[in-house]
Amino acid sequence: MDMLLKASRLTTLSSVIKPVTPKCTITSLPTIFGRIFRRFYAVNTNPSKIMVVTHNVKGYEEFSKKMEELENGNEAVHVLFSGGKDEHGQSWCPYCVKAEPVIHDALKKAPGNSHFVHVDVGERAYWKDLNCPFRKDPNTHLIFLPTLLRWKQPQRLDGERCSNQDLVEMMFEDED
Amino acid sequence: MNLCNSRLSVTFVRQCSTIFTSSILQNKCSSINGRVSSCSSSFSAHRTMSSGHRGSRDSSGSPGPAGAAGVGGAPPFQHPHCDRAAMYEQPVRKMRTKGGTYDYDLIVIGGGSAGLACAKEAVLNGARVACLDYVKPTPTLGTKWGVGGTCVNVGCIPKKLMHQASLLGEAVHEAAAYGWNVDDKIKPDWNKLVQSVQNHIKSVNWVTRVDLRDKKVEYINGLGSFVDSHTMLAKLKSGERTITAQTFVIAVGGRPRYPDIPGAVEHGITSDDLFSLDREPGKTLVVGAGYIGLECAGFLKGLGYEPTVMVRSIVLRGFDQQMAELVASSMEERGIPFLRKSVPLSVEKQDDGKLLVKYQNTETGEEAEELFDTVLWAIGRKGLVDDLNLPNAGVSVQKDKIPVDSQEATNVANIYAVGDIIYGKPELTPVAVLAGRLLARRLYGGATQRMDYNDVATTVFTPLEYACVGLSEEDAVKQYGADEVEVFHGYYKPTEFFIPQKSVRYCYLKAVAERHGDQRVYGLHYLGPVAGEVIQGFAAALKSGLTINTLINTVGIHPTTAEEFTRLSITKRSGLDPTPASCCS
Repeated sequence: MDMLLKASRLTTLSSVIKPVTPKCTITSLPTIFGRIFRRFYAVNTNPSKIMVVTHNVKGYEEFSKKMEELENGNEAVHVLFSGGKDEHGQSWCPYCVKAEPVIHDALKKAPGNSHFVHVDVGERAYWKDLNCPFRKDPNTHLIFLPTLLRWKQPQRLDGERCSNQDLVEMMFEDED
Repeated sequence: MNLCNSRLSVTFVRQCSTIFTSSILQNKCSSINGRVSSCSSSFSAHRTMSSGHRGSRDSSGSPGPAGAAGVGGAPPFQHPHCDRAAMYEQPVRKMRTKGGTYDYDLIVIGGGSAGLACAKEAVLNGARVACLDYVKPTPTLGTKWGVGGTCVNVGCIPKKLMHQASLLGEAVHEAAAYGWNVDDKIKPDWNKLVQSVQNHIKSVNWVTRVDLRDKKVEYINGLGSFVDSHTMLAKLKSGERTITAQTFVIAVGGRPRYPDIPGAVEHGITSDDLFSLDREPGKTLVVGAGYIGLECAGFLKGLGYEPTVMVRSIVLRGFDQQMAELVASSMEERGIPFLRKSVPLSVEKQDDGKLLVKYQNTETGEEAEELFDTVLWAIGRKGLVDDLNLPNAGVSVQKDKIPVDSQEATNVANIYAVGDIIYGKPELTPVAVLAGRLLARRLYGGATQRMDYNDVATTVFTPLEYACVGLSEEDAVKQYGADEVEVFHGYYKPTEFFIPQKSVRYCYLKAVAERHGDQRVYGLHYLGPVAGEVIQGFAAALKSGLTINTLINTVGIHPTTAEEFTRLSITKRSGLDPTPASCCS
């Protein structure tokens, strides 16, 4: 819940700073109306009120444990890998900062009951090591941060594409 | 900034490039808009240049009667058959391709190699584009697949992967001779191979969908059929949708044929099913000795199954027949039986699930039968014209393909065709991609360059691969006369073949060239390992006017097999022995 709040705060913040998104809809307006409409739409796009289950994990071990726990379920598991955050909640990876609000905003398009795992990969030096376990894991094979993927499925977005609203929504909605 | 400069530098370049392209796009868009709003004179000029019906259509804005007007507007139909001179005799057609009251500037029917390349390039040049793609499930097993067309899903890609799997098996056996301690009993896991291949295909499908969305091509998963020359009915999962466009590009490609014999559809499969088959193929009858049949038989053998190839008349029709026979012999040497001059009569399923195939020798009339686990039809491919309702648009058809002129235009002025669906052109992905891209540039980018269908290199991925570029020996003789053609040839021994004692009997290459004068090279043919990699560079040389003199004065890379082209010295005419004495003489 705390996470969601933070996410929504981030969303508004980012839309104030960068209001120009490729698809300008009423919900992306950086005004009070935008915020109201956003809330309105957010409720309506998910009429069954089944929420995406969000998980936050930090580091490779926590991540592996979480995936083991989730992969037995039938629901889709989306995983976002991003760089660790400093004491101000700011990630060292600029595209992660850019992608996070877009992804959290698009999460409402993900199927109800699906899982969303936000993985904090860790500090920059740890990630830059070419033997970093996140890079070596055959299921992740991470090359870029951020990477958004559907666990053990072909859907995958990385780098700049993670902050493209259209593509992120497509990722959550994709049925193939 | 300092913290992540390496990452940033990469992204910075990317950003720059996106800014760059988008600004170009905007410039293009604005210039187009400018033209539309201010330069009405240039528009009326276009109108007078094109046929009269277009003017009336523009003023009425409603779709007119089916195709009739379109037929009137087109130049008399010609089929130049790869004749470069004829190709440029036709003027570049000038007509309005954008704007108007249609839903789209361009609808591309078919999301394969040709269609996707054309759609993306058209968008890049400022057009509003929709791309339709639909895959009918196969009749036997109901196999279907995603966007990307034949090559990605049931063609080049899975074929090459399975070929690689088969070569790797071979390599493991050779490894022992090179000093590796290898367990003798290696065996393939068909289901795992299929899974890996399918996973790769699915990720390519995803990347394609992302690319389309990113480039703002509207992707419609539906089966399109013409209502008239500007209107299309798309059958979607969720119902039907009528869409209109100024221009259409037909890029629907083809699918495998089934023979018209009892049990063919019920019990036989095709290459559409093979790469996702959920059981081991086992003992397989491959009917057809075109490149698809030979490649499938080749990798099945390499994976440890027992394929048999049934040949009606000749092997690798359309290819150099000396090379084709060598390919067949190299496969026979590996233990793949060829049933020559034979046609299947029927396929019956036995109680134990095996398939009884009855067949006949076309020369002696003798009938025979044999049991197989799988029957694979590889007797040719059929253009998918039937679902398009082409008569509604007035587009003419020739043997389930669509004839086009040198600008890929059909007989209807606003309808074009590219890729495997066009009549009489090589059915190859890179050809389709380039033709589609050039077409989009001519339509929306003001370009004039046309597709050159000549001297396209290609490779048959049989266990011993065959690659060629340019003319076959018989085509050169037909075109220039036997007295004017010189053939340089030679057998060679790849260095790596010695230690594992692999057969070098069929490692052979030849250059077909002009006999007198500059001795221009008409065609190059190579049978041996990594043939595609060998011939690709030579294809560029051949397109640049390669001569025998240049070829033999090129210094080779030693020890490679490609260098053998630079060592060609024996002509067929001389009657000298083309087998080499040693490797480095």
